[in-house]
Amino acid sequence: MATAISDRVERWRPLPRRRMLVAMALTGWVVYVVGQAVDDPAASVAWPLGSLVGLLVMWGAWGVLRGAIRSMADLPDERLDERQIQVRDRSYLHAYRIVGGLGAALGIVTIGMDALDVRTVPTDWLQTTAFGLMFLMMVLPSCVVGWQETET
Amino acid sequence: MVGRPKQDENVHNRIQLLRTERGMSRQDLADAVGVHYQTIGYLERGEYSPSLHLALKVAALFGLPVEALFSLEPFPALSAEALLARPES
Repeated sequence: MATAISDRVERWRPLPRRRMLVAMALTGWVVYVVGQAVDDPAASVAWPLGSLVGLLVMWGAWGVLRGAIRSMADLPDERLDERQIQVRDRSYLHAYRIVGGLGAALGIVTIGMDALDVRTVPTDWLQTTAFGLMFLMMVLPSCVVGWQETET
Repeated sequence: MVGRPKQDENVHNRIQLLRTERGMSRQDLADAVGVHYQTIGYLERGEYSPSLHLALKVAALFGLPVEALFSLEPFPALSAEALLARPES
């Protein structure tokens, strides 16, 4: 069960605070992706720096959130009870749907742009997209649990 | 919230009543049946319907048949039950 997880983040357990962490993590992710997508070091270092800050905010908020939900979204069956397993599995279903939908939409846009000769998609943009989706897949299950659960 | 039963799938239970009657905390009950103490809270509030395995474990712990603890229909108020159970003089 998840009782072994540290209670140091007790004050982040109430739902409004967990939702604040979710908002922080997702905002950080958006800042990261936007910073990477418009990255133009020749113009300014603000974009890559902003992107890095976004990544750190996302990572930090996700870390605290994981503690606040007792890592329910990340633990194996042996460390969870039957309800927690349901919560974890449902969070992965939501995360899969969101990331899958986003990935499919981006894929369609990318293929469409190439097919219609609107613009050749740059390699670093594809890299940003791939890393962005991976980061999102990493944080989203915890975000779903943190946002939805009345008590953690 | 996840796994919360739909309105017509509610399983009513008397866990809280029996637990307090026997002077057990949520943690005591949780430890006895091998779940997290918050799961007991979710059960008592009707926000989670237990598996058959968990329902049988809880019933066995209280030494009662499972239908005495869990029901698809709301349990009658205790006062009504007491009146019905009163022997006729």
